[in-house]
Amino acid sequence: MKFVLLFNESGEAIAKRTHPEEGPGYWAGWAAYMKELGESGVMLGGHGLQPSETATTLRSKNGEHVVHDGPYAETKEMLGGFVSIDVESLDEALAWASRSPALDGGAVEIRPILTGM
Amino acid sequence: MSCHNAAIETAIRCSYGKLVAIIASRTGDVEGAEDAISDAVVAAVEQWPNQGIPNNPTAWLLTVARRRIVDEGRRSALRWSYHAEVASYIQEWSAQGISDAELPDERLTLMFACAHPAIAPAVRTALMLQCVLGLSAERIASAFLTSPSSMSQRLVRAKAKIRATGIALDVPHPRHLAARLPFVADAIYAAFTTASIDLEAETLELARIMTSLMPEEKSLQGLLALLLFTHARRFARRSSDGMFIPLHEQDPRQWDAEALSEATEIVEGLMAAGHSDRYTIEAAIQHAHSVRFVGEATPWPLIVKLYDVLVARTSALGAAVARAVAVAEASGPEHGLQALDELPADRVRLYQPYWASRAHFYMQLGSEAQARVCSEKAIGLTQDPTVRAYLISQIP
Repeated sequence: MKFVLLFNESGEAIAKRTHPEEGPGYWAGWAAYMKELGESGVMLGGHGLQPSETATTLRSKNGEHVVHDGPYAETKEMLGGFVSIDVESLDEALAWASRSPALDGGAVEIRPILTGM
Repeated sequence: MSCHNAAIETAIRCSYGKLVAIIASRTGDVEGAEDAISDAVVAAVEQWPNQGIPNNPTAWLLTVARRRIVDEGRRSALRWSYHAEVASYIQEWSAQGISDAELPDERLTLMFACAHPAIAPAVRTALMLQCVLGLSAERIASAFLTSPSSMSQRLVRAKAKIRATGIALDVPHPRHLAARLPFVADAIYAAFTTASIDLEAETLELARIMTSLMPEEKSLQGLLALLLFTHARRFARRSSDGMFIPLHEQDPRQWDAEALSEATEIVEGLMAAGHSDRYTIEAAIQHAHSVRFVGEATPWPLIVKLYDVLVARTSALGAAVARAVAVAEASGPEHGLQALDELPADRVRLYQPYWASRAHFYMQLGSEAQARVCSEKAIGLTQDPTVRAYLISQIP
């Protein structure tokens, strides 16, 4: 079964990325987790993401394109990255999600990938 | 207020299994029994914060549940052919104003039904936590890292099986007791080892229910002692800022003296009587670790001997890895590594304690590069953020 794990990280965790003291620990946790995912053979792909304030959002309003900067982080959590994995069951996907550093204050959303389309 | 709510939660948890057992042992229908008392539990949660917890909470809940049981009996007479009997029992009790102490404690029957060999081993623990303690499927699912909807399904299927196959809600005949008791003990032990979040208080409660209802069963005493030793260290496992502290770095002064002395008394009694079942050995290992409480050094050679006995009794990976750690402490890290090398590679591949121990041994041997590789594997497999932070701080 194929799933995407959406890593919703806390604002605090995202801030650690560029923090001089906390940064190395933050990156060491993610590097080890991603390496383990890769070596286990379950990973199909994935990316870490820049913070949501670097995003640009395009919408359609009354048939016209509207481009926004952001969203700027107002919520406690933001999407920090994602991976797609191929595992035997939801329980196995949960086991991989449980090892994610995102759970240090954040959440992991586990979504089955649409198939047969 | 939160303290008050905790008291209500405890009172309900203590009464829940008694009520389910009283009803289900007369109907053979665990799920129906839970349905029957669900309204009473809701009423208690609504009324007790204002009115206070009644003197006889179990009798109170049973009296409230009676109405539902009578209604249920009328509606589905086929499903509950004994409903009239149950209703009349309860009628009799509530008419007499019976106290909790006079109500029968039949939770043993429930324990044996939940851990019946016909129930899939993976569901037994969850079933106990729900039927005996009233834990929600969501809470149990979270503890066992599975989705709430599939946990609900598994529980519903297991309860349907109890009803459909007529799994008896009674205490096994003395002839079968020795064979059936380990299933119950193992299911309680599984709550202790496989639950990923803290079910420590609940697990201890299940063990206490069993030992209080079967005080003559020594095999349950070892399990209780083991759980008590672990429980005694609950405040020493985290520093004031929430950091993880491994056993060997814990300050013994933060251990719970009362739980320790209860556990010590039990395990010393068992060993003096020559018991050496799996749980007694595990408790004896924890007992050996606890000598630090009285200022003595950890007796590693004794711990290795105890692990040798334990490893011969169980194929659990945790025991084998813990044995390697004891071997390293007793005779040096190179021997610890050797012990780890003997474990099958496919079983240890995703087992975090294996990699954390291996990293620790390489570090002691000064093999930094190998320590780093193993340490990274351990970090990538860690679930607890405080353990992850600890391991990262240990990287050479």
